[in-house]
Amino acid sequence: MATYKSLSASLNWPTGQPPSRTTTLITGTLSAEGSILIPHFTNTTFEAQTPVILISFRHTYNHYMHIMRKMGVHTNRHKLQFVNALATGDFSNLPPATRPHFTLNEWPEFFQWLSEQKPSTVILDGVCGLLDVGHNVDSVLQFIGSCQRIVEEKAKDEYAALVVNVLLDEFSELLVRSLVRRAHFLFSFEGLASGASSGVSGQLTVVPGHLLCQLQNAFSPALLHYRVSDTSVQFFSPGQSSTVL
Amino acid sequence: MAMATGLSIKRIAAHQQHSVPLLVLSETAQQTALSLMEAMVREGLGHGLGVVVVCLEQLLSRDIMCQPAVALVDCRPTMAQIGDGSAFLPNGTRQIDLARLDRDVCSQIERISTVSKVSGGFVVVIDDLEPLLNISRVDTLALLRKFRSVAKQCQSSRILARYSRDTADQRTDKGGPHLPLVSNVLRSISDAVVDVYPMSVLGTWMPGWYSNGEPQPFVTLGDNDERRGLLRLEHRRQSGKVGYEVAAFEINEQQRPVFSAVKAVATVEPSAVAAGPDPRQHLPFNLDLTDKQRQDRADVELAYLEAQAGEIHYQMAEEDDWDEDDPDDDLEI
Repeated sequence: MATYKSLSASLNWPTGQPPSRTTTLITGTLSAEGSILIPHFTNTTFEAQTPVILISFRHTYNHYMHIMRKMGVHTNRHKLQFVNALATGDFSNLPPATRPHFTLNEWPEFFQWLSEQKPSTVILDGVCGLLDVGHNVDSVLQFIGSCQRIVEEKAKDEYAALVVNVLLDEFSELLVRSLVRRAHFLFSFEGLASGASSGVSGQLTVVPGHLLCQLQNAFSPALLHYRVSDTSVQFFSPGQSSTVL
Repeated sequence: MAMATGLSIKRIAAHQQHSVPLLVLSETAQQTALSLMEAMVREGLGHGLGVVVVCLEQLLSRDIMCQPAVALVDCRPTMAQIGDGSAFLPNGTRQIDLARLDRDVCSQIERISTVSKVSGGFVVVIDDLEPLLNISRVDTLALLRKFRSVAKQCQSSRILARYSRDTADQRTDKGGPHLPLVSNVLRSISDAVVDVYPMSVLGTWMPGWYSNGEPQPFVTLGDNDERRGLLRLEHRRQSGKVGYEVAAFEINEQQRPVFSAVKAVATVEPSAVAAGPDPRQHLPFNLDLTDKQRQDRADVELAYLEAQAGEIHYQMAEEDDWDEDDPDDDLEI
């Protein structure tokens, strides 16, 4: 996926992956979705021969499969495990290709299952959905904090990292402010300050999270513009869209 | 920014000022205080103090935790507690026994004081306060007061705590509808409070800053710089006097804090204004006034000037309440 390589180069991440044992927080808005980075993190993890566990509070397995196929990410059920956090029940009647690997019923049961998996990149998509169904911020932080602890335990010998994607609005701001304190990297997607543009979909600000100071890491904060098309996402420096697109 | 040796924060961080048994660092999502707190812990270790680290969320950096003079009180949920769901209450609050925490910290203080090179001197680092405040604000403040009184017994000892001022009031134990703000309460029991900010806010502290009313982005480039930031110190002295200070901090190569004074007031040099060229010099038209034009302008009678300069006669209505007293009576001028 050549389009994401410009993002990796801007961040000084040679493999495109965040360092092991880290937590990356992605925030987006209604006009600038942060989930466009999920194919990127998935693909870079696959290239490093590491599996991915995707826990979604927003979409079904089909949704992600279609998008990743368009973006050129080759998923298979051995490399990508999907956890449906939207609905509970028995999904055994579903075809194997779309059946989730796990459903989020009782949290301790899920944490037990997660602890038994191989070291992976764990992606939580749409955790603000927990706020929407009535959980308070502390409960959501408890869930994410437990996932974070499990990932850190797994990352002792092999690569494992946590990526959390959340919509930032007035209802989730308190959650996001608390998550920034528990993250090493913050990717903030938002619309252009100057208004909409046909050539540029939005802007991405990448800054350290509170925990980055504990890593000896040569990380470069970045401000980039990006454009989303049907099969790719291109990142470029502000003002360079006519050169790149 | 020139180095200023007279900064209180510099003396406090270097343990040259002993009247700060409880120091609280406050942060926001835009600027972490973690790097400054760890640098101050390293400063304490460098001065031969023993350190007790109370970890509620994350451990401190490895180079600190591996020091022999550092003891850990680990309050993080264990993997077994996460697996069986016993780490948290149903409302998401952590299950922490504050009485046991008190005993563990005091026993570690006793133990670490014996290895401290400064007789009995120690630093207790609480990272961070929010889970404790979430359980019970009253009990947490009582705990802090107790630790503070223990620290006061040894001149160079200190309690160092970190909390998030942009989330604490909304996430911590409510207790009742009229509880004071967490930040106000912590200020009342602390000897010093350090609020950290990103360097980018310095421009907003200067007079003349103008906002066009547009909402500010959640993060900007330069936020959460782990190497530098801005701080505002509020230092309550034993005499009751409260001192305020604004400084910049930087974490140097040795991971120690370096403080410098900040000029937060914009000044304009008068000579710079006077020395500029006259903008009317090379214009194709004349902006100067002749003497006759000046006189004619002074002779213009303003239509409503008489009405403005004269007395105002006001007819009081039934609902009016006339006050005979001079409203400026309480001014001591």
